[in-house]
Amino acid sequence: MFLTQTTLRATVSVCAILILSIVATGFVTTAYNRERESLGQSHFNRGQAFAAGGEMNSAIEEYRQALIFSPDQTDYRLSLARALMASKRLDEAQAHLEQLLQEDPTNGVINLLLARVAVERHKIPQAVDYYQRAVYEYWPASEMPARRQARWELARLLDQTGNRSQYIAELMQLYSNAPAPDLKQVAEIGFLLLRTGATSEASEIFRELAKNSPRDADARRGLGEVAFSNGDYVSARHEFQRAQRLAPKNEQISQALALTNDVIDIDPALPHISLAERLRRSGNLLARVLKDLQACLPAPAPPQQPAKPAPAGAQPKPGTPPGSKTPQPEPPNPLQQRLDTARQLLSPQKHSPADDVALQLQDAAQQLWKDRAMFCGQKSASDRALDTVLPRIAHE
Amino acid sequence: MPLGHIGLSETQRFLLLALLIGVFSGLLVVLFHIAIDMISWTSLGALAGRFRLVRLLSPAVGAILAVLIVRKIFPRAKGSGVNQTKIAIYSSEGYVSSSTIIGKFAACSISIGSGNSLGPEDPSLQMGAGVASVLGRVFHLPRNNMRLIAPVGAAAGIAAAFNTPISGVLFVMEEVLADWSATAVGSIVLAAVSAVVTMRAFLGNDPLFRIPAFELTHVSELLVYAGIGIAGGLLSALFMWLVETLKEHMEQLPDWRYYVLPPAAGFFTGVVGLWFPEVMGAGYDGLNSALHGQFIWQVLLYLTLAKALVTLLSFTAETPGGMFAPALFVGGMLGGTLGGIAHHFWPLAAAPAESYMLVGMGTFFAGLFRVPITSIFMVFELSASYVIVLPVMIANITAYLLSRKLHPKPFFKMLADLDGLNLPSAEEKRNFQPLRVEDAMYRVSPATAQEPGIRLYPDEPLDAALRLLSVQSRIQVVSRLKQDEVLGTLTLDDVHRAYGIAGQEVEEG
Repeated sequence: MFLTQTTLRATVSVCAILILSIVATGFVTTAYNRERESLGQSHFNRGQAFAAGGEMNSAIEEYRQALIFSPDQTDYRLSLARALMASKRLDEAQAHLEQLLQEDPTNGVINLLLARVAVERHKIPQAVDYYQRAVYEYWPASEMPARRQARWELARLLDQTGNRSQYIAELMQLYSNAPAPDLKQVAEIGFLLLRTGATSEASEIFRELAKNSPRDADARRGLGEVAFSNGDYVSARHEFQRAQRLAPKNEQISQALALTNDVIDIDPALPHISLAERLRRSGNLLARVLKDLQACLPAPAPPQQPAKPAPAGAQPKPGTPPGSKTPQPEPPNPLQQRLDTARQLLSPQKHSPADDVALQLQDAAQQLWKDRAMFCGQKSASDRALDTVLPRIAHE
Repeated sequence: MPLGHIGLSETQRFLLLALLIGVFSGLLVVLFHIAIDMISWTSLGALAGRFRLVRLLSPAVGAILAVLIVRKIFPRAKGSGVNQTKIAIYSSEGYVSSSTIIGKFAACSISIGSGNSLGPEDPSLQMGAGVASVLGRVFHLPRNNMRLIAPVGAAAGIAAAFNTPISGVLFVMEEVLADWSATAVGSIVLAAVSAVVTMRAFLGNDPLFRIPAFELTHVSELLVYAGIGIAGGLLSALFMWLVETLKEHMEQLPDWRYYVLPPAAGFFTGVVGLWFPEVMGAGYDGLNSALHGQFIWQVLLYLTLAKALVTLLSFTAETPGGMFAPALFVGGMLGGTLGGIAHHFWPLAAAPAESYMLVGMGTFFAGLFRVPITSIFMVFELSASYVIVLPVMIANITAYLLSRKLHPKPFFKMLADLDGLNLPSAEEKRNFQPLRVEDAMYRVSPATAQEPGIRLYPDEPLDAALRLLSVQSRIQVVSRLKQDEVLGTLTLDDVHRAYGIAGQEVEEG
């Protein structure tokens, strides 16, 4: 079959109409897409304004509208998810975040938000997983502070869940990636490490900090805390004093210095002290324990009056068994005995500067410390110095 | 005249024309989509944002405008589009007027864009058929080809509207065109693909739905999927019964119903839309939101019922628009509801509700339109997940069989009957068991000697044998395995007897 003249004319006409249609549809589509984007953007802007004003429900509605017009806009969906999270609508927020994660599984921001949702829902292993992905996945340059925030949140979560080794590792990562001028954050990492018992890592951080910033009081305080943790109270006092010179009004430094002085005053086990000094400190230690224990014991009952002889013909009190005798005073209990012994040991008498007396004082202090735990509850909150020194003596 | 000498076979010309039809249909669907969105942004977006009353009244105003367009200007543009395309194919030799395309475009974009609960796919199907018909006339196609070209356009239109080429092709083959040849299939596929490519070139590659990852967490979940199929089948049968009943009652009303009922249905949609805006229009945005777990199952249940109700009213009131999108919405929400309940009571084994929603989308569709293969492939195509095939097959076939049992007449056949039309139903044709030669032949001994002349095989259709009997009065029937073995003979009397017996059996049945 051949193309006839008529068919040829029809073909040319149809092709011309087709080209015109394609061009016209192209123009219409461009205008449509522009309008679509513009409507999406205006809804998004309104959503941002509502969110900034704390009107989350209105913000959510606007973000939803924005997404109808521009469903591919990650920013819109992220903002919607954030607004939903702020409104505690976690299911919906998670649905949007999972959709985003499907499209971009390596996005750190999305993983961070999903981790926060998991934390809110107490799904800790899932949260740790998302946090770890958030930390190690891709972050846009503008969101880098949030990446650091993600690592902080992960570290805190690991601390809460008792995962010590990972916690220390994350803190060390935070330290090695810390922005150079942020001394406060470096010091915070050091103190957190110290709190978790990683004294060598903390010491390294504070030494580095003190070297780079000799006038930083926190660095000196940190070094003092490290020395204190290691039982080197003299060095600790030295560092705290230096810190106090740099920041005289810092309450934490003053408290740390006071505690260190207290410890030095009552610690008989410190090396390189004379026998007389050891005796004095042992006495101080016992006196402090005694004071602490007396403070928490109930006030002693007033001494009982001797019973008067009953008048002739008087009836015994109801409930009193006939022929019962006057109650005798109770024998002193063991605690009372130990308290009396301690008081005797502390009485103003000339102690011979002998090791055995110092040891007696220390033993009495330790025994009373145990009594204190039994009668007054567990830890001593009032006297941190005792809490520091006595376990050490017991250990030695 | 160099082009005049380019030799092209009829099949090649037909395929080229199919390509052209696909591109034109794709362009038309792009513009249709844009028109619906623009109207929707204006009526339900900008204006409704300022005045709440607009959201309430918009569907009613849209419905009355659309009805006026159809009733007063383009009367041939009425109906959803599927039966009208069938009318064109079976009784008008593939003729669809260009005014039908314009009327359909204008009326449906206004009614759907203003928020009436109807979809753009069935109108797209008819507009595609219209484009094909116009091009067929431009190229002076012969009569037999004109009848073939309309389904090609229909496939292009629906494929572009759904953004799913395979489902577009299958729907036309399953519902619109009962008999098809290799050329027809090739043209339909080519048109559908070119329409989808054109549509994506202008509107982007985004799928109709943003589908979450599908997961089958436990084999026992297949029971839940079967349950979704049962629910989809029941609801679709109930929906059809309600459409039939309402339409029968509305037929009794005078002609003013054409102008009063659509805006009344639109007003009701507006009222429901104040609480559930997701039910307004085609509902794709709501379905997308639900597919990403943004509604709890109780809300999904309300949305299922609300959408089914407003669609029932809008469709039976004859507001211009289609049924496909609402069917997907209702099925999806129903699946999500049951999935949510399953997830609530069986959280360890049950997948997220969105997975059930995805499967549910096909169940109502399969039950209502009786196109199980299309519905399976549509969900498969939309989800691009191989894992989904098994649950979808179980759910959709269950829905299809149950709906067929409860309401034997297919949806479009029922509508045609209500309109007093006798259109062939593809499903009825599929179910029809034609008599074969072995049902009519007179059996003889295998030792019977062979006679010269035409021979038949026992499995050949009796209709075909009847034609041969006009050439030869007695035909021997031989085995396919042993050509020299005569199984029987066939005469005109045998055929008459067979048809007579068949007719008696049908009456008895």
